[in-house]
Amino acid sequence: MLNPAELDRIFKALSDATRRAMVERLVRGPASVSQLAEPFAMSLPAVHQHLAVLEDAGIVTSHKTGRVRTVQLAPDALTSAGEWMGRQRLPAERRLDRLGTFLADPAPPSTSPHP
Amino acid sequence: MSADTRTDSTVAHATFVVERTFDASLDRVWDAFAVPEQHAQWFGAEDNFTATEESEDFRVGGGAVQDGQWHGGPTSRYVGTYTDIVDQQRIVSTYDMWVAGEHLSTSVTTTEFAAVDGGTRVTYTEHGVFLDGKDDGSQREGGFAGIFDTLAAYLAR
Repeated sequence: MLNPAELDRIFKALSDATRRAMVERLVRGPASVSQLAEPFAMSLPAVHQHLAVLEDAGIVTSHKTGRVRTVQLAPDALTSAGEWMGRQRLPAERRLDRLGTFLADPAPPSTSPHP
Repeated sequence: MSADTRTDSTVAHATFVVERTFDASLDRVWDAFAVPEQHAQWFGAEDNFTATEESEDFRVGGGAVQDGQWHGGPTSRYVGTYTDIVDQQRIVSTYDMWVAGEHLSTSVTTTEFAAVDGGTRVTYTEHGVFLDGKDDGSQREGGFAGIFDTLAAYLAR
């Protein structure tokens, strides 16, 4: 569930554009470290540093086969953080969310008394 | 006549503007506000809240009331008055909230409706004065997250 230290690590991990770009790439499938590094003008140690932050937050896992380290997104890793953010809504926002759900309901509404 | 006297008084003024475009006709969206049976289905229907009294009199000078209780939390009372209604264009209301019997806020709200590409745009503006640093009791974090953390810790033993 929601552990403050875990949330800290996830938000810290996502507070960097390079790491966010890596997450977006991994949504599309696993990748080797060199494949992940490709779009960035960055040294391999710097790439490893970013991956260490993502791994520490539980957002990615990796395994090594021979000399190739493959990185993948951890399922459900961002769910709790996303849910926390989704809950931080003002009463007015929540009401309009509920209006949206009500309007999307295919059941026909009762007849309205238009003047 | 008695007055509520305090040695310290704090008020917080806030303005919120929330805009949404709904994929529904202006007719349908207006009715969701104007028809009490429809309004009741979404307006105060939070999943961790039970309403004990609910009424809506949709006309200028008419009132809306909602009493209820947050699950595992305080009671909540909403009393509003419609002050301006222009059919399918705008609704202006004033309302007060009490939480656990204490006055939380007084607000002025304006809801504007416009037919747009993609359906209906609803613009909701609220100006409120929030009294003495109180909160609305919804405890969406503390209440449930706390209970689940305790349960998770117990189950992990």
